[in-house]
Amino acid sequence: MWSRVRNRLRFLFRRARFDRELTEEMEFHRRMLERDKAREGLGADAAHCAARQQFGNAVAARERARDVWIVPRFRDACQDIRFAVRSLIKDRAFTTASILTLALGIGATTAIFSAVYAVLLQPLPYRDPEPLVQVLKKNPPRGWRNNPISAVDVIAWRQAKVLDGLAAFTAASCVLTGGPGAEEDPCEIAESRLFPLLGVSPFTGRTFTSEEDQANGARAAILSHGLWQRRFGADADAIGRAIEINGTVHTIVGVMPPGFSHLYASPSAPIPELWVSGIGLQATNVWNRYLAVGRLRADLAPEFAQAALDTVSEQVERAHPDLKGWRVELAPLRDANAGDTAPALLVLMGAVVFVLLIACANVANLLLARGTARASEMAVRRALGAGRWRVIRQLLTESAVLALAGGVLGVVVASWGISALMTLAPSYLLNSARGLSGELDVRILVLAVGISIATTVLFGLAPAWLNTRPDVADTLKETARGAIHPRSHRFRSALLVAQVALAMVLLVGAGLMIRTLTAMNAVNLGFNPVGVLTLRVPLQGGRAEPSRVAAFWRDLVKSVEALPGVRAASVARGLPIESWNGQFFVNQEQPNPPAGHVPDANYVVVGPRYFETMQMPFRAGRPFDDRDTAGGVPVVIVNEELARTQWPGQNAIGRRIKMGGPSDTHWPWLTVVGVAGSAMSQGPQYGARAEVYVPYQQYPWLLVPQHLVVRAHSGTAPASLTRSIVAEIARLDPDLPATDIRTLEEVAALPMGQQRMVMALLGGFAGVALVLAALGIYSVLSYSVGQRRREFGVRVALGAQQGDVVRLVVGGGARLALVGMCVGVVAALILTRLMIDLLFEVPPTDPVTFVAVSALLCVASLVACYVPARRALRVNPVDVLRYD
Amino acid sequence: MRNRTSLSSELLPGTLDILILKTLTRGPAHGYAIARHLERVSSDALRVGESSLYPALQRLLLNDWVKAEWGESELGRRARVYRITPAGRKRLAQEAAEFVRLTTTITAILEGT
Repeated sequence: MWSRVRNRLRFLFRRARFDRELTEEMEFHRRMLERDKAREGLGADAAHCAARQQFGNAVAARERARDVWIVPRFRDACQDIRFAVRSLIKDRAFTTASILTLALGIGATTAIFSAVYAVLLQPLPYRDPEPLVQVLKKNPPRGWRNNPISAVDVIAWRQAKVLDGLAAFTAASCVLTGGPGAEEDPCEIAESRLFPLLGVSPFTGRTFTSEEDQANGARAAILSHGLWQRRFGADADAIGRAIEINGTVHTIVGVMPPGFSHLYASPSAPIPELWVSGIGLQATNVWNRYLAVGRLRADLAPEFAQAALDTVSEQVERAHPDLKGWRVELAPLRDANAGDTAPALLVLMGAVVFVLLIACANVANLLLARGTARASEMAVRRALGAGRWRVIRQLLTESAVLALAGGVLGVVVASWGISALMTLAPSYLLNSARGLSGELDVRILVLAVGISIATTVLFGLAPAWLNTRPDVADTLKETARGAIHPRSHRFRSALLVAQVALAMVLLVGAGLMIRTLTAMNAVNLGFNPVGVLTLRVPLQGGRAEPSRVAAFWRDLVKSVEALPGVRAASVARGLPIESWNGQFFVNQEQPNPPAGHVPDANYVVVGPRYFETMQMPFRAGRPFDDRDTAGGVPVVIVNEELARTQWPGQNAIGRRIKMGGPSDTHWPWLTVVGVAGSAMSQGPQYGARAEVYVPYQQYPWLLVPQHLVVRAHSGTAPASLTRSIVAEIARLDPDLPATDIRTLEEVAALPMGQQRMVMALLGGFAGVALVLAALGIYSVLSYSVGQRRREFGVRVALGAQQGDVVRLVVGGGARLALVGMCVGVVAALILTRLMIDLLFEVPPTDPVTFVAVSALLCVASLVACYVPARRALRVNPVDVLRYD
Repeated sequence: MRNRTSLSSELLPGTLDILILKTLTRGPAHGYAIARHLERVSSDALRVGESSLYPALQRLLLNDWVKAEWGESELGRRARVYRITPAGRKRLAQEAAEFVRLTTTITAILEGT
């Protein structure tokens, strides 16, 4: 049995040789026959003829010999496929259009659904991930949400035993020194219980012990798999080695498995490369700086956990007035991981389904047109004796070949699509625990290909069924007269209306995104991001000594400002848009605000000329200058928003505020020396909020500035300054890394990342939909013009003018397009509401978008109608009438 | 003209296969030689046409009952020479026994009435 299969396969691959040898063998047979005939006494010619005669039909004999090897049904199928390919190649326009349409539909759907699955649906790579929750807190009276928690909260909530485990960590920055150059990496200071809670074991080595959680204990570090390979050459001996992190000696105790990554995907939290011990939670620390993960108990409903923890918080706020109003906020880790991209991905998922529908409608339309055009061919074949099933099978094969070609090309499109998505997606989506991996989801691919095969086969079969009706004579007569199947025509019109309607919805979606981005770009941020370069220069350990910090920054800014192409330079702790450091403060005129009503502001540490470098307008007073040193009067610059809320209608200069809550006594009073214009430092969505700026020279010990901001001269591209600035930093301190080098424009574009991705993809989809809809109109009209040649000829002969003919054709198409647009507008009005989370200052029913999109579709439809109309004009009545 | 039997249609199916295998037990032979041998031993009663001979040979090849290789021939052209394999001999023994059993049965029935 097995040897037969092997022999058959061998035959398949050596068909040409088989044929050659068989021919040769039979020729030999014939010659032997001829020789023997000659020996029997026949003449040469007579022998030749006799041998020929006796030998019979060599071709038929060869066919029969070959049939031994091939299963006849298989041979028929091969024949069908060969014929299908030939006939598809002949109808090149049809084939190209169908295959491209199918490929686009399959490719786009697979790419987007793969991404949605990867980011939103795929289970997290932790042990029993469903009950895992992100533990944050909210302050409903003040309208704050998604806030980090304090050590007090962690300890109190843990004691309540409402959660089956709670582990805290905090994001930090780790500068690794020693070894191959200094390097700064995002890291996390994590509690030892984090790793068992997630159920993740290290790749090698161990995780932290509970002794290592002490602030003053021995420090341990766990490396990410990537860092271990990159910096330690995947050396197993790295375990146990001592390295210096932020100036403190740490022992490497373990390496995490590849792919173990951050818990939350968020634009503001970079992906950690290592984890360090020594979190040192103190039962009195109310500073909201920790993030946490918890596990819901299987026997408690989430609402009960929430309520029980709220009770704990009520007790906590009695002991700690600073924590008034805070309540726990539990969110499934599954959702938290996708960051805020869920609405974007869901909108794209809906859009891509539309693309697939349009593609299928288009292919159905093309197939129906082709099927009808071939009605007479089919009738002739039937008349010549082809069985009905044989003809249908032939058409079926064509459809299958078409769908398969579309599917293969669709895989190519899908892999392009997913890499495009990787480029467009906000970077944090790529590296999170369950991020985009760039892999296609095979199940979805199979589904998309399946849907298109079903469509193709169904609509390829419909005309075959109609055209192979038993009464061949009727079909022949009808097609000769150029009659149109009214039912098939009506169906094609319906398909066309659906296509136009779907395209309308997609175009409106894309239009709304364009309007949103325009609105976001048009927002005056309050600072000018164009022409500014930012670099991060982390001073850690000994370099963060107060005496050295001020001198270092002064020297660096001075030497950078001396570089050619630099207009101004300054330093800052935190960049606008990217970081927000909310702190309480007290106005001296109201030293005891009621708990829960303490004002807060973004606390920014800056250098002299910061406002000049950022080009922020100054409303009153003076910027920082050389008077503001550690020995001088402590000063502060507030923004317009803070001045307006604290001293409405009055001059803010000379007033005094103090950072921290009312009970914080160790902070000095700060005198307001200037009022800066308000900036949208959290991004355009949030508007202007209160901010305070303090000079780093006076508080070098508190928050060391980390960013150098450099404004280039108008003729200089800011990125071109990178090399010379990095050289200056290296000259001052060769062991100091300069990281995170970006233009401020890139930073300012961060909040728009999601919208940009959606706009690019939705725009692409809408473009495809528009082209497909226009193609649909064109193909339906061209076909109907072809069918109605005779009618047009008669009309012209009877005196119809050119205008009449054009009106007739264009009118038919335009009516369908108009119906489609009306349906589309209604659908869009309903569906665009789902996009509301993505829109900015644009209502989902934005009239500008709707009008513009309708106009665009009108123009496209008219162009698509006009071309076939021109063809109708070229009909020569004499030709047409003479033909029949 | 003598009355000749065309093998493919009128004999029991598979008979030609056995006859070819039996012929090849005498030694390797090419297609023409096999056909001539069968004609000779049947005193020209059997006419083996190439339209049944070559499909039969392919069937035997497919089942690995014979092997074929190209060799020299008396015409100076190369000819495909078939050789029976051990599997072919086994098959022949089985089929021949079966054939005899069948013909005996048929004969018994025909003579019994």
